[in-house]
Amino acid sequence: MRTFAVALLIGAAVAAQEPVRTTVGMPAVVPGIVLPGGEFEPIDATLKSPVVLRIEHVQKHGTAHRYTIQFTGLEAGEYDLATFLRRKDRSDIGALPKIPVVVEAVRDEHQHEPNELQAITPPALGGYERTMWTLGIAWAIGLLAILFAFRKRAGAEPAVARPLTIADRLRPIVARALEGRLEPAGHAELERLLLSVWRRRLSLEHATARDAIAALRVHDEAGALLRALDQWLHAKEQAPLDLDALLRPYAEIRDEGALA
Amino acid sequence: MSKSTSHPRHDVAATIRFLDAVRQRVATIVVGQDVVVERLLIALFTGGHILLQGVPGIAKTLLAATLSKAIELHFARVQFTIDLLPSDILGSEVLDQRTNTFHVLKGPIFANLLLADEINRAAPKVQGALLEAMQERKVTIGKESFRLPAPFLVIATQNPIEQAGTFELPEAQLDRFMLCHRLQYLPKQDEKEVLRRNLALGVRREEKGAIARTEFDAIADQPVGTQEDLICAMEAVHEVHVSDTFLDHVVEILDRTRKHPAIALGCSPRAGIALLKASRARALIHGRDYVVPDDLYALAEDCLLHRMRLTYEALADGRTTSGVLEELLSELGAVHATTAKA
Repeated sequence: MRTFAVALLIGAAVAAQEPVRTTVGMPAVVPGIVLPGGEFEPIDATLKSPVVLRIEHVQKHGTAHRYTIQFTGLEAGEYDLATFLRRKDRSDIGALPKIPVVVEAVRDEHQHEPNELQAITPPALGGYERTMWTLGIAWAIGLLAILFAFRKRAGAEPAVARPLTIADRLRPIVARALEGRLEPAGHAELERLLLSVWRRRLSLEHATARDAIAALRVHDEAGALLRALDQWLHAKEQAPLDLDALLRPYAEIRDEGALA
Repeated sequence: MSKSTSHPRHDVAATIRFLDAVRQRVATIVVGQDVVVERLLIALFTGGHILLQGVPGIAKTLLAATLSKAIELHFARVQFTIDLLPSDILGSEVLDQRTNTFHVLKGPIFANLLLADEINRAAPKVQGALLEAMQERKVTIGKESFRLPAPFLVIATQNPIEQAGTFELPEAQLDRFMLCHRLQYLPKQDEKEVLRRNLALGVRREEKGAIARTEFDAIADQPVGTQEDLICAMEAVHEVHVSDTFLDHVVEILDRTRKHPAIALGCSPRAGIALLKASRARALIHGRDYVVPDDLYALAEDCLLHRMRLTYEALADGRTTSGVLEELLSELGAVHATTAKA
């Protein structure tokens, strides 16, 4: 009576399970099946058996046993694995719960030939040597392009930039002044440049500006120039000035450091 | 460019004589320091204010006192300290207990020549009060405003060495000083003359006692010039001719201070105005009726240096403001960063 109640409970639990699904020829596992009474084993399979199964694992479970059953469906359909079991001692199996499985067909119902194999592009194997050669040649071409194709032609080289010297800046301003075309804003620059010329000529570059101009004042030639510039550019009432005589020495100046 | 005014031309020769007399009077008391005297006169003639930076004991106070007595100016001196209050300089309202009314007690700022000794020792609110009065030339005490006397010149001093317990003047307030002159120690020969003169001072009898005479006792009370002479000199400064070329020089320097990579804060237009005014006064002092580049080079340091601030990178590189300014002045005629195609 007690065994029967256990069987009913187990049967109800197993029946509540969803059937294990697989396709024809593919093995599947039904774990944790508890069957009452003595131990079970698969019945002998024949050539006509639609399902072949084996018990992977079994252990005691109270008065019952717990099984892990692996099965392989050979024909499509719904099966009860319990019908493929028998007790080891060949005694009556009694009321076993159903162990439902479903074996599905991969082929159509009336298809007798296997499915066509799909063509798969195999991965590229080999060819490393060729790849290395290709990359090497591309690198060499790039190097040659840098060395030769993109090299600037000697005749078309851009001019090397160099800072303007004081003499470079002074010449055009003096030229404009001699031609009477020097704009008022250029007077200040002309004066600064002439001061710089004389600072360099008298090696006063490292003296302070205040000391330098004081030294220039007492120099014969520089002092005369500064006084003339004062009269021309700064005095309230301008005295007559021979601009040509004043600026002509600086019209073709090339090296501001050389003494006139 | 200076504009001709409707005023009659001033007698430049008389102004030169007045200047020479003042310089000679100062020279009888203060040895050397000709440049400082010139700067003080420039400040006086142009209505600017001057900040003197120098260590103690190099005759800053004596110079100011001598100058004030030489031109018959009302002189006042305030020693700035941490606990000084604005009312200690400007003045305050006091209660007359007899009449039970308030009346104004004017402070030492109501003088022609105010020596603000060690200005950086006072709290910022005191510095601010003084500098505001310097700018506006008037003081408000209670509900009443008072104009400061004319001429009005502040000579402030600060010690560049001892900085503990001081409040550095911010750039905006430094900008209000037209000139900032850095005093140096005297040459050996002049210092020897200082010592020799001091040895000859002797003692002064006072009632039943005697006290050692100081250089202040040697200052003659008789002025060599009047305030009218000073006003004439101030007017003569305004007649000194400034050419467009000179203006271009000034503008160029100001522009360079703003573009130089080592300078974080360049010079304001007020610096240019100060340079221009000071150059005019210097031209007059040197007997010219027009300014020349020498004036600009001589005054650039005093007019511009305290208005410039270097970048942190330049400071980290060990550069100094004076070095950068000298570079700018030298660069005026030097090679620009422009390049030429060969």
